[in-house]
Amino acid sequence: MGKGGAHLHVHSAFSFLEGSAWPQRLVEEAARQGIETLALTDLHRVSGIVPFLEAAERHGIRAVVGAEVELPEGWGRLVLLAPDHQGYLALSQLLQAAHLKHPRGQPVVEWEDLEQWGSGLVALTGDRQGVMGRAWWSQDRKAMVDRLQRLTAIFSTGKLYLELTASHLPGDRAFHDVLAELSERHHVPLIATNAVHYPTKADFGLFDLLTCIRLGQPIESVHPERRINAENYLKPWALMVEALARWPQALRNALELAERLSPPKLLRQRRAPRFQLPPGADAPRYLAQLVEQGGRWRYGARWPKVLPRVQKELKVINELGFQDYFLVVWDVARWARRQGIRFAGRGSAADSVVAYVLGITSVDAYARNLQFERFMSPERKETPDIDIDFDARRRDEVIAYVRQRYGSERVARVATYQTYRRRLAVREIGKVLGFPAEELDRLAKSLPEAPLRVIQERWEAIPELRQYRESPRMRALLRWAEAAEGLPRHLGTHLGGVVISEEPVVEVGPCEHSAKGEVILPFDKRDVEQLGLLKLDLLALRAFTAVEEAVGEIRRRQPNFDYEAIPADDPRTYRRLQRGESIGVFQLESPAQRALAQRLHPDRWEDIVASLALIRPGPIKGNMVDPFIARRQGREPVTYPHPDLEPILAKTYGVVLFQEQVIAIASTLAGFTPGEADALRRVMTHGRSHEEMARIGEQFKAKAIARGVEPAVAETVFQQLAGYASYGFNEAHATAFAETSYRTAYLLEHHPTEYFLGLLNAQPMGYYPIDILLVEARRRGIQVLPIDINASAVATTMPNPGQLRLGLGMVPGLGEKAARIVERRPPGGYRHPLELVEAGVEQDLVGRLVRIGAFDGVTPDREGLLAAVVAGDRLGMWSLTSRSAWSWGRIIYWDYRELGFGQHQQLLAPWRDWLTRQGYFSVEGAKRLKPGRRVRMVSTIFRPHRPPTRSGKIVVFLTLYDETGVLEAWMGPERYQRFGQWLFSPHSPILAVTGRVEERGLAVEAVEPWRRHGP
Amino acid sequence: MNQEGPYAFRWQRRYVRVAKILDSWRDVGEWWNAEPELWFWRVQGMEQGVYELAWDPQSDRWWLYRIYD
Amino acid sequence: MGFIAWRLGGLYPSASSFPGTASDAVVVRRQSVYDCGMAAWDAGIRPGQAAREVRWRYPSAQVLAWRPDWYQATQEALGDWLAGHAARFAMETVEGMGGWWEYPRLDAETWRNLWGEVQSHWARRCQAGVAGHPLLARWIREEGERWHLPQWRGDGYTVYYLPEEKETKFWPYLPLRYLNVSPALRERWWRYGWECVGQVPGLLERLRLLPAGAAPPERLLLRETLAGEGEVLGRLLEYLGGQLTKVLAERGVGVDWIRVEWRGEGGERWHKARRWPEAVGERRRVLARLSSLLQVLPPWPPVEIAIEAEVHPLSTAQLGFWKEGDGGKKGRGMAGEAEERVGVGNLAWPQWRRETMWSFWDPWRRVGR
Repeated sequence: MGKGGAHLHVHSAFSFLEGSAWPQRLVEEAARQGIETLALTDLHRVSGIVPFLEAAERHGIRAVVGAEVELPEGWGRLVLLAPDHQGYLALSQLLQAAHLKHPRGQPVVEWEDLEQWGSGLVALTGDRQGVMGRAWWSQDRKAMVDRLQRLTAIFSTGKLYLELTASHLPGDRAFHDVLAELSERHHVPLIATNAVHYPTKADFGLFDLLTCIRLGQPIESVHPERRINAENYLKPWALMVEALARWPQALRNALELAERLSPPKLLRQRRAPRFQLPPGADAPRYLAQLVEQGGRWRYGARWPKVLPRVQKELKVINELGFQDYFLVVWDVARWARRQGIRFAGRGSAADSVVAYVLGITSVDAYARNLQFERFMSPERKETPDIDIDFDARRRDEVIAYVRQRYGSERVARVATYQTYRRRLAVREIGKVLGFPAEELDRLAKSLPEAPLRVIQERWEAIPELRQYRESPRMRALLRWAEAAEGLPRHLGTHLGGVVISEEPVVEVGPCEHSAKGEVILPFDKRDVEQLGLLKLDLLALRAFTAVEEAVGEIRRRQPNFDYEAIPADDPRTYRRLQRGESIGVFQLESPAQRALAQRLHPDRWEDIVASLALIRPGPIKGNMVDPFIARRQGREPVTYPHPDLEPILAKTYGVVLFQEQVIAIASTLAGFTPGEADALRRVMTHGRSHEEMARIGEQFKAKAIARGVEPAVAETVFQQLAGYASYGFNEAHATAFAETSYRTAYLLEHHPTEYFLGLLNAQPMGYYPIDILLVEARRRGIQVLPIDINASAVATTMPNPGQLRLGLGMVPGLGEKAARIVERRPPGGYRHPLELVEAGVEQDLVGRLVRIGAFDGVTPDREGLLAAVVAGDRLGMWSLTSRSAWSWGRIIYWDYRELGFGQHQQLLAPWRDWLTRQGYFSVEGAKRLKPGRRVRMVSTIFRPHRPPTRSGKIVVFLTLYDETGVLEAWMGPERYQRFGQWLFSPHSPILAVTGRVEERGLAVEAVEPWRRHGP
Repeated sequence: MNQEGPYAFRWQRRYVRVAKILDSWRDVGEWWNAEPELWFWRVQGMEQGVYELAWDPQSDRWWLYRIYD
Repeated sequence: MGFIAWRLGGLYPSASSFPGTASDAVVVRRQSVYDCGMAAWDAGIRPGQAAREVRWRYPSAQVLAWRPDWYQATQEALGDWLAGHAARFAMETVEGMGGWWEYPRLDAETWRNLWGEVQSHWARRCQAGVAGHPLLARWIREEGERWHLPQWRGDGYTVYYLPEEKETKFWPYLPLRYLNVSPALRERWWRYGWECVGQVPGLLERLRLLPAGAAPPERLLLRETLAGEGEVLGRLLEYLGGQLTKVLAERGVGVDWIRVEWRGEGGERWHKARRWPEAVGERRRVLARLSSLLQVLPPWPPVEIAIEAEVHPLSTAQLGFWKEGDGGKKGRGMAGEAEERVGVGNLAWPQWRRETMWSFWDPWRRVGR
């Protein structure tokens, strides 16, 4: 098989369900076969070109960018290739027009756009779905000629080809004969392609399954878009020659055209915008000025001390040319501050004092001695990543500001690819293969957190799969699901990524509309960086919304309350955290965090910072938690391998917890520059091979020894670093978050009613559902008043101290109508649900409002009201006495059914007496028992999950709760094998649980569904 | 069969020579049921008759798939 | 109540060639017990048990090899008697004499009388189960003891009966081994670890839809208009066939007569109908039958196609389980409907699918050519 060959019509997975492989894989396969040129022609998109171009460079393949487009009037498809960079610009304009001028998901290239941009492109007529194929199939010879002529008018000579594909389809011969004839008569050359949709023949199966998913049909279905053979793969050129032996000129033309094409210059370009400076200024000086102003603001008299550090940072920033980047971000932050939008910089940006004085972050990197190099260093040439969290409700205003400031054609949101997650892959492929829905549901839900490959190997160990034994069909399903896992499926908008470009964005790629109507650049976040654009992450954080709501409410009664001035060492706050009673606190409410707090007993700021860093898979698996706690509590001596490390590790008791510490250690002990140390850290983080690590180790030790460190100590330190490097957390990030964590804990302790109001109005957020938040609120003595048609606002409000009135906004489906209901409320209040119907609220929603008791203030006779609603009878009679009122059990049942939570009481409250008589303990009762006691409980369960554990065994954690509170529980592998199915069943979340009370919760021994036989 | 395709075949005690190969294609059928890929030819016999022949590359089995008359 | 599943022992052999005293004789046929004497029965031997267990259960058994002439006459006579007494019956004569029969109302008294007749002529021992459905009856015949069901005991007989009000509760526990299904289906159930009816989704409903006997035939009519030019005929037929199969599955019935009618633009009509010996519900077979009617089609295109089908409840053997395309089956129909892949104009299902798929690509097969 000789070298050479060109495949110019190729689809990757970015044709969404019309292609089944990543572009890299296609490139690899082409390289394996010795194919010289590969064009990527996804459907209406160029989203895969960054990995495509990179892979092609690596493998030495000539890459060509193109796209297949749909022509108007149902003509069919056309394959377009960009012959050079100019051509790419034309292609991008064309695709953007196709997307933006048409409804989302149905891009069409209009004639005027094709005429405008086509001359810079090369066109191929496509396969059977192409312009010629469709006309031929309709037996419309005249149409074929007309179309060819129209295209010839647009694409000059040498830029239009009649395409022959080696698809081995019935009818191909006749079709090819016709094309050859047209070619002669109209002097349009032929070209050979294979309309590739998958890399190898073996990949056809996955492609066919994806086709079925796209069509929504089972695998046995009959449909014209199902391919009948597996020929559309990257065929070795020798086979192409064989297949199209009758048309050697087509093959020649393909090779010849390939020689004339070249890839666009997209990689390694700098496209970030220049900041608009006042006249006469230049960026570095302007930045220095701002930094000076900011420095005095933040540090006052101490500023001269900080200056050297700041100057070091500025030097690096200027060297790397990122002044404009900082100015852009500074500008956004300043604007947000002026608008009163709560925000905070997060992530490694907080390692920078410059970011601090510019008001982007609120972490004093100087005081904490944070390493700037973790954020930026000369050794790391990538654009820094500054992420900012904004109050969720106002984040879009910020983006609108950016658009307006830089011009909307230079700003776009970034896309993210929703890929096939395992569960989705199992569900969709299973459906196509004919598995019943409930079974797929169960299987998908119960798949543990392991790669599918591992699951297939360890079948027997997984309880949910055991029942299927060795079904070959099941295995086939998992095999296919594994192949599909990770493939892009949909385009979605990245949560906060915004790009700004110096030139209009369309010169980088064609934009389209997202589901929410925003303009997005359909490249993945990482690809966007490769393209040299300036990227900001403007994230929406609901916790800030909660804070704003709470603070606003506090200020109504205490106008002088200042959130920023919350004292940093309030003992009551710390005691609350120590008790583990932090449900609702930002980042510290999860069961793991609360359990940690109960062991760690945080009583100072550093403890909170450390907590945020400790509860993550890395430190847990790396067994850092116990030593840390032991040392913190003085039960273990704090030692340092080397005295020079004391200043670095003192705050974490000698344990390496933060990435910045890794950098500091490497530079202090071994004399690396901080930049080199950061590079080292990153290398160690990404799991290198033994040899690499050994090499780095040698380097480290040599340098350390050269500075007088003893070899044994150098070895120990390196081992520690190597072990912890990948687990280390970004200290700046932890510090930034710690501020909000502490303050929200403070609010929870001192202003609970207002804070719960904030939480309820910022939903959905947090770890726990509304039901649990209400349980906690009631435990704090807060009176929760149910939704009332006449007393509720849209949001939850605080009518009196210690009281919360739930808002109409909590009713599902009501949406904007909630505001309307409140607006149009008559002076005496609503007297009849039909008034709402007249106001434009649909009957089912009105029914829902009645069923949840919104009209209880008018009458307790919900039945009567419902009957009146259904009958449309405005004068309907209903009883004003409570004789016909619903029973308490019924009221609570409907609360859960319509709202998902209990407005008046938690689900189990009405049963408490009966349960107690039966010997079941409540959560509160269980908590008061001594550890070791065995107990039976009936509880609602929430979020059973299987996090990775130190030992690697399966331990299932879950939250039990009832009206008296929340109790964390767990069960070990054997129990899980026996009872695991009850946890994940789709039915009632109430279970009867038997277990042993422990310090930290309940060790579950048995579980079964609770059958109500009671009143 | 030569490189282009079949050139003659036997059927019901008749020997049919292929005058012309009209078309050829491949079909994977119900691949999920482990059906093999089959290759087909539509040929014109020397004396009238259009036949469709099927071939299984794996088992090297040939058979007459369809006759047009 | 109404169904008695019974198993007889201590049969009176009818041929003089039967040797010796019958009491501890055990007659074995093809490695299982066919009949046994009274003492053997009382010691726990039952027809249907494995032959090799006989000695273990009853050491002093006299094992004899079955001979057809010993029981021929008994069998016939029993059959006649049943025909005269039972509303419906089925006799099992392979693993011993037994079976089930339907009797209008049964109580201890009635049973005693019936048994009296049987005992005086043909058998001295009987174990039976009485329930509202033959499957249940068979089951409790074997396991009535274990489930502590009420019994009638008498001279040589033990009858367990399932009171009507308990029937609903018992259905889910019916072990799957009592169902008469294909080995493939049984294998699949085993693979899923399912042992009784209640565990198999949907099975319970279908079983209870099936009365143990015949019901008057019912006709279904499906009609579909072509959506205009270019609608692929193949797809329409596939759709109709699919609809038909869906309705059949929902109602647990099978079709044994199909009529297809073809109506043209100008009002022309064409039809073809056929009756088959047995009712089928499995998709593959239904579609095969449908396409067998469509081998030769009228030359003009239809604007409307109607399918009429006569349906009957299926016996349990017909329960096809998953949808199509489930592992390994290459169009192998059950006996009597061989599906060939070769040949002119024989459009069995796999063929049909292939042809229809090709009609989207092959100009020679294009619809509306």
